[in-house]
Amino acid sequence: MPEKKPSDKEIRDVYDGLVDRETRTLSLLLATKATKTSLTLKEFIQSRLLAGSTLENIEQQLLDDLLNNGRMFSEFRSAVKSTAIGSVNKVRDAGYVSSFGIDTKYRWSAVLVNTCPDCLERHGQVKTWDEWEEIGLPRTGATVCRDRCHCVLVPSDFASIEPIKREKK
Amino acid sequence: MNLSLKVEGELLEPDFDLTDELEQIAERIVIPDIVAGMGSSTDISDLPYAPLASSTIKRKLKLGLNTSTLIATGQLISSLRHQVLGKNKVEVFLGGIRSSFHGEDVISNDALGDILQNQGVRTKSGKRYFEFFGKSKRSEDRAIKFLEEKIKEEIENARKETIR
Repeated sequence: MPEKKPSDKEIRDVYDGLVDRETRTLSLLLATKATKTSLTLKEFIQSRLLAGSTLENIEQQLLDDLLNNGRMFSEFRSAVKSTAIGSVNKVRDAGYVSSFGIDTKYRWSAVLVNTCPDCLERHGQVKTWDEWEEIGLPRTGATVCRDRCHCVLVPSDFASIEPIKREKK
Repeated sequence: MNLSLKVEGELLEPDFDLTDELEQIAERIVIPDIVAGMGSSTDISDLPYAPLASSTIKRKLKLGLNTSTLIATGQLISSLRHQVLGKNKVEVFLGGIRSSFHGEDVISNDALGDILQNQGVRTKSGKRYFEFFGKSKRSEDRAIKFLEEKIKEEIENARKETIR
């Protein structure tokens, strides 16, 4: 008796099960930071009302933050920000991605003069471009200094300091 | 005093749980935007693709295929999916497998998308790339507008609750 040929759906189900996210090359992530204390919009409104605020003030605060590059929604704006190829942003400020590629790791380099506490915390950390994009690139509103940020992401090898070479006279 | 300051600080700059909103944005804005671009033969920067070679169009017509740049059988455009990976984390991707026309090697839609967008398609005049998969400026603006409306909706719901 000949074997029953699997249906297209059965074949598709098997392959779908085998497709692992790590092997997926085209993937868009809409992601922001998630903590145990994350509040939904409704919960935030309720908590502000309990604290004595008015609905008008709460609405003003939320909309002002969302539409004027505030900190509360900076990660949301990063999550939905327009992309070029795949999930990598064409960030003109950095300028290294086109030269060194997205597989290179990048070090957050702060100026260390009047640097804000957020950037001080990031200074020296090395991550992939995708990871930095998820956390928040410089000048995207993810840090206290927002658009005034002077930090740059440089390829991690790039930032190593060359030892001083003294030559005999 | 310290406790009240700490609580005030958390309320002023909370971490939001926007999982539901991100999922709706993926489903209602990002995916339809990619589909619209593929249907109108424009990339995610809203630039039109170079027209197909006349030989390609003739071959597509002969095989009864759609003559749009990135649409042949419609399998790629219908493979766009989204899934919630966790709190505040939603992924848009190309799912499923397909067989090339005439039953050639099976290929996943994701792999096909990678060829089109990243590796390039060989033509007589060199490689062509089709940046069809991504978040356009249009979908970014719509996503922000979506959250704006969501905020107003939640405020209105809270207003109705306080009236009761």
